[in-house]
Amino acid sequence: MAILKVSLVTMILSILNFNDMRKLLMFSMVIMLFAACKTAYYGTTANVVYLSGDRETISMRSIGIGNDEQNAQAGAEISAIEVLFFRGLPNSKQKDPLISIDEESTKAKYSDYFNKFFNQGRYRTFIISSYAVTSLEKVDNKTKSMAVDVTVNLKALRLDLENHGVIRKFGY
Amino acid sequence: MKNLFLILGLVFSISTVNAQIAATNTGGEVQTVQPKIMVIPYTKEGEDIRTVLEDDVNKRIAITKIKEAFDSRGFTTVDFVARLKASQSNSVFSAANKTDIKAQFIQMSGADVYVETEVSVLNSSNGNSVKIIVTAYEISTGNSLANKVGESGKFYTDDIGKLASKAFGTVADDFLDVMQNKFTEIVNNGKSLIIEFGFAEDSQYNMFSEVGRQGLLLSDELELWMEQNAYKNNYHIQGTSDNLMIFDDVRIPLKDQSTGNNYNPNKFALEIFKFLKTLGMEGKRDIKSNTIFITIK
Repeated sequence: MAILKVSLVTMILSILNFNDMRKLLMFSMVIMLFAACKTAYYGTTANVVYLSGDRETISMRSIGIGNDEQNAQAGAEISAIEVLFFRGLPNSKQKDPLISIDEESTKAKYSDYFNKFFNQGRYRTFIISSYAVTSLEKVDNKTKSMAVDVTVNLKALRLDLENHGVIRKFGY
Repeated sequence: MKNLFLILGLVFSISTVNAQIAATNTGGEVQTVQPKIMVIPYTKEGEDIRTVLEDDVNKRIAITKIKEAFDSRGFTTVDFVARLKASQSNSVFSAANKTDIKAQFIQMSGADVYVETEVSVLNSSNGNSVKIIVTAYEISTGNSLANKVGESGKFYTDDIGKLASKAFGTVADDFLDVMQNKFTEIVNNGKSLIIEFGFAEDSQYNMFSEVGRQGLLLSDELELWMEQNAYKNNYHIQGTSDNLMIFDDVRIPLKDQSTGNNYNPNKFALEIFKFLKTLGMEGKRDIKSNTIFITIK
C-alpha cells in the first residue's frame, strides 16, 4: 500500500515538473511518513478477554489506554467492568450483559449511579485484584497502552445493581 | 343530640369497614408477589415421583444444588419433598396411575414454575462423567422458560454427587439468566392465563346464542371483551365450539394499573363475572392456579 502511495506521489510530482531528484525523494519520504502516521486508532475497542472465573468472581485481561501507568490501569479496569455491564464475555459464565446491551439509554436513565460508580471511583470497591502484566507501551504519539489482569467480585456487583434498581432481582 | 351521636357512630363504623387493619397496614407499600418455583426430579414412564428421590442420592444432590443456585440470587424455592409429604398426608393423590400422580402433584403444589432435573451418569474406563438436563416450565401454560444441559467432564472418581454438582455449576448462571429474561418479559407483557368458557348442562345458552343489546353472538361478545381487557391487547383463542370457548393465552398485568396493588387471576375472573351480568347471564367461576373456568348457567 505504501509503495503504491509513493509511486502515486512520484507520478504527481513528475507531472508538477520537479527537476531535482533529491528534492523529489525527500518530498516523497515526508508524504510516506505522513501517510503511515495516519493509521486509525479506535480507543473504544473493548480489548477484554476472559481468563477464569467461578460463581462469585470473574478474571479478565483488559487493555488500558492512558498517558501513564495509573491512567492506563484505571482504563483497563473500567473497560473490563463496562464489558461485563453492557456486552458480556464469550466463553465465561457471564455471556450475557449484566445490565443491557443498550448502554446509552441505561447510562442516561441511571446517570447518578454511573456517575458515582465510574467518575467517583466506586467501581474500585468491586475489584478484588488488578495487576499489570505488560509495561506501558506506545500506541501512537499521544497514547500508551498496558495489559492488566482484573478480577471482579461479580456477585457483589450484581447485588449492588439490584439494590440500586438498575437491574431487577430474580423473579417478577 | 342522641341521634347525632348515633349517626356519627354509624358513619364512623361504615368508613372503617373496608379500612386495612392496623396490624397489616404498611402505608401503601406494595411488595410484588413472586412466582413460586419448585425443583422436581425427572421421572421416566412407570417411575414413581414419590420414591425416585429416596432411591437416588445423586438426584437429591442435583436438586439441592439447583435450589442453592436460586438461593444465591436471593430467591427461595418451594421445597419439593416437604410439599410431597404434605400432599401425601392430605391424600391429594386420587388416581392409581403414576404419571397422573406427577401431573396431579404439580397442579396441586401451588407452584407457578417447576424445574425438572434429569441426571445421567456415564461410566467409562477413562473416567466417569455426569450430564444434567434442567428445564423450567410455567405450570399454567406449559411454556418452557429455560433449558440447559450441563456436563461435568470426565474424572477418575466415583463421587457422582460431586460430578452432578460440577455439571450444574457449568450452566447454573446461564439457566437463571434465561429464566430472569422470561420473568422480565412477563413483567413487561403480563402474566399468561388460560380461560375456559363452558355451559352448565341445563343452560339455555351456547356460544352461538345472540346476547346483549347489539344481538351479537356470545363468542363474539367474549372476544370483544377480551380484546378490550387483556393486558396490552394480548390474547389468543385456541378454539370455539358450540359449548366451549378456550382462550389459551390471555395476559393480565402483575399490578393493578390504577391502584398499583398486586393483580391476580381471581380479580380478572371477577371482571369476567361482572361482564356476564351485563349480558344478563349468570355464571360460576373456578380458578385453579392460572386457569379460570367459567361455567355459564
